[in-house]
Amino acid sequence: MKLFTADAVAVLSYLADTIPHKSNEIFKQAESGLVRIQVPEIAVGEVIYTILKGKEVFGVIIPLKKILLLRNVLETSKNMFSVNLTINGWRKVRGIDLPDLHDRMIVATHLTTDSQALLTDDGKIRELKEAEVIW
Amino acid sequence: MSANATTQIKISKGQITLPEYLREQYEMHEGESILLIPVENGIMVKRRCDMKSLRGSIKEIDVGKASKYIRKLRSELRIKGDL
Repeated sequence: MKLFTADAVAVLSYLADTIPHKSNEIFKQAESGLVRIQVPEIAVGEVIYTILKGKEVFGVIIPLKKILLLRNVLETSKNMFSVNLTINGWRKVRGIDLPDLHDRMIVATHLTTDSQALLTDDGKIRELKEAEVIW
Repeated sequence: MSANATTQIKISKGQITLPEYLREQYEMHEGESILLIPVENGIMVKRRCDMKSLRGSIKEIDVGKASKYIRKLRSELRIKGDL
């Protein structure tokens, strides 16, 4: 089964149901059990932090139970789950030509697993030759 | 039975039976697979959560604002040159 990697913006777009067509097709396939989507732990952190900062970022407080639902899915779903960066991944982090540590960690997760493509809106990641990007 | 009441059950030949009221409360149906998740002081029993339940679950999210905010967060851990 094909594996894809989603970053925080991809996950947040899915939660808002405003994800662009190409990435949405991957999410639809995952919902049908045809592919799997992994979410790097750093992206999980960014998603949760952004939701917790709802008042500051979106002007509204987002109920905590919505975070618990996300955690439940990541803990129990076969097709959408969180993934840790391995030591091998950290070795990869060193050589990735991106300025931000989070971006490097996300790309390293993609490159050191069987991931087919990264679901992200990030322009800098899209410019990397070694990472296939879908958005 | 209260939703938070502790229930004691016996292990028989390595098997346990979940009481009917708990199966009903957590919508655990006959033949369905459930997950046993080791936690610090025991084993947690959970149903699989369908990822579809997440789609559109937080309509309050403005993705443009979220993207901008996350970019700012990421820039706070910026690396100059190689590690």
